Parts: sequence; structure tokens; C-alpha cells
Amino acid sequence: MDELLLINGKFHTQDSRYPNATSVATRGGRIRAVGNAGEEGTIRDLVGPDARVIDLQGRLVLPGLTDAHFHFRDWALGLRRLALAGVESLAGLRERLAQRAEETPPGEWILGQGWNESRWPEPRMPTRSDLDEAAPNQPVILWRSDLHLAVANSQALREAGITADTPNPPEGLIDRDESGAPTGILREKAIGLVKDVIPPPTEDETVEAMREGFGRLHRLGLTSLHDHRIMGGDDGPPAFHAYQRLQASGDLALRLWMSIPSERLDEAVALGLRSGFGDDYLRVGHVKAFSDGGQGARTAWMLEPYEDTGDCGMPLTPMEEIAAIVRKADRAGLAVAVHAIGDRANRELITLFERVTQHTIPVTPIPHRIEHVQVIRPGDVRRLAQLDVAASVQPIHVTDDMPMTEQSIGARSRFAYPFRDMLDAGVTLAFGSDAPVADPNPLFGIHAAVTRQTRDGDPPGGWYPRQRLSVAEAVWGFTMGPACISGRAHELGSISPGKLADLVVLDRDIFEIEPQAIHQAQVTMTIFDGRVVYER
Amino acid sequence: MKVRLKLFATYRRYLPPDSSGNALDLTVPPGARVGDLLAQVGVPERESLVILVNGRDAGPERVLQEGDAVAVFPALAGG
Repeated sequence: MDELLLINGKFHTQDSRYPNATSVATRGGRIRAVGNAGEEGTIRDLVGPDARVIDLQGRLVLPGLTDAHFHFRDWALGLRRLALAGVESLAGLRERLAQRAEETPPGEWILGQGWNESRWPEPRMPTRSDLDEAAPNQPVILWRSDLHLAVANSQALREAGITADTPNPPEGLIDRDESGAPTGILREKAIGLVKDVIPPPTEDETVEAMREGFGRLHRLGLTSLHDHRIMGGDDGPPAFHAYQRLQASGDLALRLWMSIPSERLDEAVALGLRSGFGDDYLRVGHVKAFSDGGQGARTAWMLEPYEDTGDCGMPLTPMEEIAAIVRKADRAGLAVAVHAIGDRANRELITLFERVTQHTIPVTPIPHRIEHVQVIRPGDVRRLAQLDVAASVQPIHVTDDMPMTEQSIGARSRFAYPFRDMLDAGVTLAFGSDAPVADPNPLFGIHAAVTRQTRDGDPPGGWYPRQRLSVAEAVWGFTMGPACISGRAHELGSISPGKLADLVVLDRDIFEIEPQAIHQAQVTMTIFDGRVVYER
Repeated sequence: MKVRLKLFATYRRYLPPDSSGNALDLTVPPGARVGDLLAQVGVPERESLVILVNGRDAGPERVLQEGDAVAVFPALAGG
């Protein structure tokens, strides 16, 4: 049985019984013992002669990090797509696309993602003619970084049968020019018109991409993910299938809390599934529903109109339908995770949870949760804190989306990402990245929560700095927070005897360095399930 | 000495019937332990109980301090 003895570390245990731990012994995937300073000898006696001894040379060790909002299949497959996150102008996007088109046979699809025009010199979204010039011979679709909007070229629109006469699908928009012709920009469920005609990746391709993905995430110190369904939930079955294949071959190298699309709630209930079913590696998680869209696409549902479009966005699922989902799931022992970005969506949802769940004792210890809680009024923060409903939030969006938020909601930006207010009010917070929407590096997330500045230090002093968190609070959000909201705080989230042996070693002490430098910290070792899965 | 106790999920059943939300502000004598606090509201000390004091893992023997926030919830059983 694998045994590790870690000595000379600075363990941030998050366990009040071990405030100054310097050593840890693991055995067979569990933490066997934790030793405070001066107890190293005792800990050493607990392992056999074959244990691997690792001298940490005073380095900081955190509990393995969990990303509580991740789209793993999309992210892993995206590693093979045209990556546009770093593109700094429309010309740059066209150049990258033209290059890819040269390497791609005519007629074969080109998929790309990650562009975000809000920081470009000319902040205009690309249209189909921009794409046609760069890639005239292949169908192309390029998702915006928020995944709520995509742009397609003429060939892709043709293959999808989208013309000036195509009506907008329910909960979707096809942007059109003055003549009524589609511009190539597709919003929300209109993206599905094109997506439906792209040949899906094979399961072998998915499994391969996932294997590569595990390694990439270990380098970032991630050992667990809460894996969320994308809108429509079509990624659910192929993702679940691939996870089970990887699990059967012993290759599942992350702990996955796998959400079920609300479109499949009836089947889940009929099968008798409950949130939490599974083992140490793969468990059935929350039922995922959507109440509104995104701020970048101006489809998040707001109390007052956007500054630039003059409308208030839209609900994506009627609240009564969400109430029915919550009621049914609640009775069946399934917890629900509802996407809500806008202040109207959050207000309505909190009212719904008050009405539907407040006076019943749930079947499962796993709380319901709201995903993003991006714009929320102070009174609603206080109401949320009174509920047994957790907030799953993404600090990296704060800094990625500052300009877009200012542009879309102006002075109401003071209600955006109010992490300090939520924590002080008593809301349980779990942090994630929403990858591939944003970079999955959790140290970028911790940096953003602590500084509310971009990694270039903008703006000086931080954006609405009153909402900054301490480093310890931010680390909690990537460790104990996700453990609590998945009912697994007895097994994950802290460095405690008996818990699963997931640990991450950093090259510098993020509690001691300047907060502005936290994002530069690197993982030097990741231990998953008592095994060293990454070391530098 | 005042402390705040938050009861989550199925443990909400131990809240007084007239309470709103899931938090209780309670007064305990100096030197009281987490276990005494749980006894005060009738939460049984089980192995599957998860106790966090100010967000950190703690056992029932932990001595309470003024202003502590104690969160308790049932663990998801099984593996």
C-alpha cells in the first residue's frame, strides 16, 4: 500500500486541532496522521520502511484544490480547439483563424473559443464576413469566452440552414443586419442551430482529451472538480460515459462531482438516483438548471435595463418551472444548482427557495446552490444568508470582466461579485473558474478574490476593494467551501487524519508574499489519493 | 458568552419551531465546549457529524470563544 511521509512542511490544515502542522503521513489514499511542530518523530514511527519520505523544505502545503464550477468535457476537448483567449484584436483573431484554415482540409469544421472583444482596441464583435475572409473553405464557429454567444461563418450558417427567413429559436437570438441577413452572431440557444450539425467527437477522442486534461489540472494543484452541464445538457451523457470508462480502467485522476441536466430530472428520479451516489472518485452531484443568460451577451436578467441595450435581459427558464424542478428534486434526494447572473434572476430565485424549501427538512445533507450569484442587491444577500442555499462563485470573472461589467451596468457594478458581503452575512461560498469560460488556474482565482485587480495590477487599490477577501478566506473557497456544498466535508477540504490524501505544495508562501504576486505562485507537487501525480 | 450556531440540511430539524433561517444565537457559560452547545439544542453527537468552528474542522471537545460561529451538518455517508 502506498505510503508517504511529508516532513518539514508548512501545512495550512484548516483544522483547528493542527494549527502548526509540519508533517503528514498518508497510507492507502488517506491521511493517517498530522503532526504539529515537534511531533515529527511520532509521525515517522507511523509509516513503514518502504514509505516515500518527502522533505518539503519549509514549503506551504494546502489541501488539494477543488474548482466548484467547471465544464470539464468542453474544456478538455477545447484543448484541441483553436484557442482565442489570448487574442488582443480582431485582426489577431483573423490571423489565427487564417493560419488554422491553412492547416485544415476544405470542408472540415474549425471550432474555436475564448475570444473576448471587450479589451480589444476596437471593441467590436467579429461577424461572418470577418470569418469568411480568413477561412473561405471551411465551416467555422468561434465561441465567445462566456459561451453564451458564438460567431459562425457563411459556410457554417449554410450547413445549419440559417438564412434571413430563419425564425429565432425559443430563448435564442440570430443577430441580423439592416437587410435582415444573419450577421453570424448567435446568442444563447441559437448557437445550438449550428452546434447540432457539427459531427460530435468520438468517445475515444473525449477520453483521450480528458486524460490529457487531468495532467494539466494537476499542474495547477486541482484534485477535484464540480463538473457542470452546459445549457441544454447535451454534454451530460457523453461526459458521464467517458468518466465511467476512465474510472473502470483506474485512470480517473480527479474527484468528480458530476451534475445532471435538469432536462433529465425525470429519468434520474425514475432511476432512484440521489445526489452523492458514487465513490471516492465519481459521484452524482447537483441537478443543473438555468434561470438566465450571461452579462457579456446582455441576456442576464436584470432589475433595471442595461446601460447600452436598454432592455433587461431575459429569464431562460420560467421561475415556476424551476420551482417544479426544485420541488421534485428535493423530494427525491437530489440537490439543485441553478445558474443565476442578473440581480432580477437572483432575487426571483431566492424568493423561490424561500417559498419552496424553507419549511421542509431536506432528504439529503447536500444543500441547493446558486451558480454565479454575479449581481445581487444587499437585501437579497441577507435573504440568501438565511437560507440553506450555497453560493458557487468565480472570483476570476471579477477581474476578467471589469470593463464589460462597467459598460453593461455602470454604477450598479457595486452590486457585482460582493464576496465580502456574502461571507459576512453568513453565505457559504465555494469558488470555481467556470473553465473554459475563464482560466482554470486557482491561484489566479485566489489572487482575484484577494486583490480585485487584474494580474497587471489594474485598477490600483482594487475594483470595489471593500469586497476583497483574505488569503485564508480565498483558500477556503477552493477547499472547504466546495467540500461543504457537496456534503463531503468529512472527507475533503482540510488536512485532517482520516480524510482523503489530496495535497498541493506551492513554491512560495501565499500568506506571506505581497498579494499582488499570488498569481505568480507555482505548484511544485500535487498529491492525489495518496499518490504523487505531479512534481516539478 | 455569545456564539452563533448554524444548523444545515437535515439538522435543521433541531431548530426551534418558531425560528426563521438556520442560525441560532445562543449564550453559553465560559469554558463551554462545542459538545455542550450541541447538547443545549439537542443535536446528538454522532460520528458522522461534521463540525466547523469559524470554518475550520473541530471536534466536540473544542472550547468555545466569544463570537465563535459553529456550523454543524451531517456527513454524506458511504463510499
